[in-house]
Amino acid sequence: MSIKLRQQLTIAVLAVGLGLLAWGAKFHAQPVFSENNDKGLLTAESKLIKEVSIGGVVRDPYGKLRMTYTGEAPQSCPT
Amino acid sequence: MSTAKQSPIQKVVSKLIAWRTAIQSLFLLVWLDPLNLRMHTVCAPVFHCYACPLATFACPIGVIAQFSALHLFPFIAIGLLLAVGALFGSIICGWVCPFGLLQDLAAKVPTPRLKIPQWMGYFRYVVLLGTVLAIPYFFGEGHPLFICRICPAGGVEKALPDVVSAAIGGNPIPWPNAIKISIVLAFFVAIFITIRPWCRIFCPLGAIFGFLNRFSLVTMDLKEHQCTQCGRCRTLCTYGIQPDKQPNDHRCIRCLECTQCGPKALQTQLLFDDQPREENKA
Repeated sequence: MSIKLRQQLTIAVLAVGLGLLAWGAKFHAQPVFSENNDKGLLTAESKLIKEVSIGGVVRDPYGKLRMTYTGEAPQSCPT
Repeated sequence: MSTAKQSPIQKVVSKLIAWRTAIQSLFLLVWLDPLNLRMHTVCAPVFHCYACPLATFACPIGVIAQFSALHLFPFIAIGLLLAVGALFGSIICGWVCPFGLLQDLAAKVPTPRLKIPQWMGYFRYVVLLGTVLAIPYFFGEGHPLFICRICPAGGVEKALPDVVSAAIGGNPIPWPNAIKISIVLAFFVAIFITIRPWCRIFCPLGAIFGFLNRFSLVTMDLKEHQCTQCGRCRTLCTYGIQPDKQPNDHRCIRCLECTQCGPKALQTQLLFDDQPREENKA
């Protein structure tokens, strides 16, 4: 593989990575519904990262993202 | 014997190699949350289970798998890994990752070591595609082969400390399931009979960074005109790679020991360093 091509690929991968990172951090959000009602709250991806790390969100049978708890968060993930 | 002129980055690397374990240990101050920040809204580019009570950041592999189970695209985790991989490649594995440090420390124990066949390095991609992406996507988080359920990091960093602390405190012991216990035991046996078994055979994060080795900004270069083909670099490489043939091999964890060969023909440098060269073909 030529050095030129490697340099171009490096720039491309870096640009894609930074683009995805910026998009996810700034703009990406999903509606998450509370455990007991159908009121969805737009939740940023960074918040979702925290929630999945404790098993706090599941996709319910209707395809909606739903919290698994109300009030105090679980201490660790279910696995 | 003449030696090649060292690149600026190689001059720094040459001084740091002897301190690699110390540098890995210093990074523990970042990963082990000494300030109790629990910044789990942020992924770290290393393999460190977020279930660990001492985890500062979220594990990117766990996040990707959980997002896959939720049928969401993990923009932040993938973006972070691509950006960090494009900059550093598997230097993260060799110099920064706490799970790598644990295995490196075990490797210092003088026990007989088994050689791992090179082809087993490809199994990491099976782990990545299977247990991190496909199984979570199609079967959800409850599947027994979901990465977090079979990952030894969770067992070593969460289940084991829980068992020990309960035993010391005289509380009921929260035994993990038999699979987790078997995986943790197998992991502890493996790290004493071979070198970095998890990183070299299973690690999905290492698969990503290793794949990006060829495209990373910090790269390895062989000065062919300086190489005497003495084979010293292969002796220095404890991972069984042939650095003179494939300096940017996907299985390399960038310990950079091979750069200490006599002629200094292998060097760490930036991909954009102003030196015309071509990637050496295998």
